[in-house]
Amino acid sequence: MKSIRARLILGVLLAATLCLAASGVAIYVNVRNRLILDQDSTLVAIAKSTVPSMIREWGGRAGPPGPPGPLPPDDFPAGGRGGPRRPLVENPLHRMDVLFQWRRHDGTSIGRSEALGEGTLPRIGAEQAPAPVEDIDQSAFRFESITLADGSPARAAGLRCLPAPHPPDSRAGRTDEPPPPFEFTFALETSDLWSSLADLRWLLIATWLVTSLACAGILSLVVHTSLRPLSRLGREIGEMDEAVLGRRFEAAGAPLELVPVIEQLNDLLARIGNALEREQAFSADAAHELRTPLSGLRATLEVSLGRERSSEEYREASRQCLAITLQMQSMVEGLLEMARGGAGGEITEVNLAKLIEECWEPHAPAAARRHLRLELSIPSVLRLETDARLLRRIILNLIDNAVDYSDEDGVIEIAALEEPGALAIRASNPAASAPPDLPSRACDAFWRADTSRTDTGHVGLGLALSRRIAGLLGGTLSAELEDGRFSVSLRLRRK
Amino acid sequence: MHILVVEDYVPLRTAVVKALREESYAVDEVGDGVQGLSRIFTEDHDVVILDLNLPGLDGLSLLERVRREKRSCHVLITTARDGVEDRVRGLDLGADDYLVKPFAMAELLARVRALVRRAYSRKETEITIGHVRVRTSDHTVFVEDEPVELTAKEYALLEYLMLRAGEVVTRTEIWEHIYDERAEVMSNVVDVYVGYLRKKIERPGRPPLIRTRRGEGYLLAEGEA
Repeated sequence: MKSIRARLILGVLLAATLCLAASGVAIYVNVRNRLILDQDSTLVAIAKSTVPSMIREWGGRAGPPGPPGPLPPDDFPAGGRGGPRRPLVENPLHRMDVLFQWRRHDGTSIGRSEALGEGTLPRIGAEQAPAPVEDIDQSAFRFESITLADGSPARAAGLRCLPAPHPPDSRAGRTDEPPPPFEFTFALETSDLWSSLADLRWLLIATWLVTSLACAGILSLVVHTSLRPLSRLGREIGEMDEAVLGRRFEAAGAPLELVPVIEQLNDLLARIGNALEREQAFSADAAHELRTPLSGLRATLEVSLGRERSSEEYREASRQCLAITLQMQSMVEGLLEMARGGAGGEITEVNLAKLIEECWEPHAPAAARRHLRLELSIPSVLRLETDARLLRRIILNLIDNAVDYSDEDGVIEIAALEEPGALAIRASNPAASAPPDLPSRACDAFWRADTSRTDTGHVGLGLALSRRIAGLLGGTLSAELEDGRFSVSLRLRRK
Repeated sequence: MHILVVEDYVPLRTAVVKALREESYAVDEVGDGVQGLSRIFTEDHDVVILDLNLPGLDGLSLLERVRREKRSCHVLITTARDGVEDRVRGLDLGADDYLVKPFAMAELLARVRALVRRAYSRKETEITIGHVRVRTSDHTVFVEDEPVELTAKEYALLEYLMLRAGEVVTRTEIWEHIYDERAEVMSNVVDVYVGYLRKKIERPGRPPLIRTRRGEGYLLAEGEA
């Protein structure tokens, strides 16, 4: 999903609905548990209030003393033989919803509540240790949720209870053996409880749905409004073109999160503007530079064709035009190289001394004519990892300039100097009459030391191009004028 | 007329100088601003063709100094830069005209002719004094409405005298405006060429146009001597 807006809305909505759902579940479970706990407490209270009295009133008849004999299950004839059946237990709490069943320790039923009818309650907690009747607490009970015979849900509590021991009676033959425990099961129907819980569940679900929908709506509105500055910024960026690069985006009043973006954007626009200005200036310079040889070409041809001339005059004019054309060709090729930025090739190990000797060779005749000598101070074992083609381009340019512009009868020195973290290749030549501003201008595009000389083919782009290529090689190019010698140094970083 | 060409680009300078000399101008040439300034201050030029992009001293700085010293030569500046600001700056610094490179040679020559007329406060391109008529646009001369062939130097001399008609012109002035750096100094070369010119333009029965003022120079005027 690529939309920030969609991610924000869906993410927050998902988190909100999950939180809401979790809250709802927690509320529901908590309420349910509380209600069940209340039910259990009620059952315990009922049991605590009735079990001792039941045992006291009926407990003696429920089991031995007397010879063991069958007793009708859950039937206590009270009030004598043939007497009307009475409710097994008077309900001390006067609650007709309380169900209970009373059993002997072996599980035979002694009595049950009238409300149970023919149904029975399950034995609960039959394996647990019985509690003395005089010390019944909640820990003696076991609780279970059960289903009654009619299918209604109920909550039941089971208790094993030890009656108080019989006093010794030698006439009845009673002994001091402890009486067996009784089992009691109390239950309360919980249909209403579960009905209420169901209502609560639906209420929570409905609340969750409505709240989620409301969240979705509000979130969409808030996100839409909050992202409006971003949309506006995007529109303004879209309206940008070269003609309005001088414009800057307003950071004041923008959201805090956008301020760094706007500042970086403005900075980028400034850099782009500068680069475009430099490019335009360079193009203008290039065009102006080409105008000069073009003017020479045009003037020479117009004068030559202005009247009848001798064949020698025509030949001289043609020679002049050819020289100018070659100069323009050199300039155009230099411009193309500048435009390409000197696209590099592969990095190889270069024998520097051998490379310089190869570059010197084609210039040797011109150097000899001007009585120039080369002194090379480069160890023959010196190797460097670099782009050989680009390095050759720079060396050729340095030698070309040195041979053409050096004072005659001099020595051109090319040396390699180890510097901390770098290697400096320096080419120097005698230049006694060089202007003081030569070092600062030599690398400028189209600047030439001697603009009156047209036979050398120099168009003023060589050192500018060499400086750019030096940058591609990870180095720098600089010029110095000291003690009557002009030198150009190429510094390459070394690992 | 005496023209100075200050241009560092040799092929252009060579072609311009050649074209001007073929138009009978006396032309001096230099390749940098410092030499140009020196020549302007030491010699009298009617027109200076000045390139702006010069080594040594750039054209605008040279122009500024020339005008500061109140040198009255007319200046035509040439440059490859055609921005309005460059043109305005050059004209405000005292240039009389502006030409963007590359230019048509015919246009350069026409502008030089216009500046020469301006130098001598002449607006017309045809000058008629007595029975002689000179058409400066194409260097044709008519004597009694008949075309007359003159050499380049003869035409240059006649044109100069016609432009200064009614004024006494010294031999030195004639020398400075008709001859350039290449000419060998000869003491009577001016007199010789005046003699050649008289032969071609004077007519019997008409008063002489070119009169000699002994000890001063020459005067070209119509009417009685």
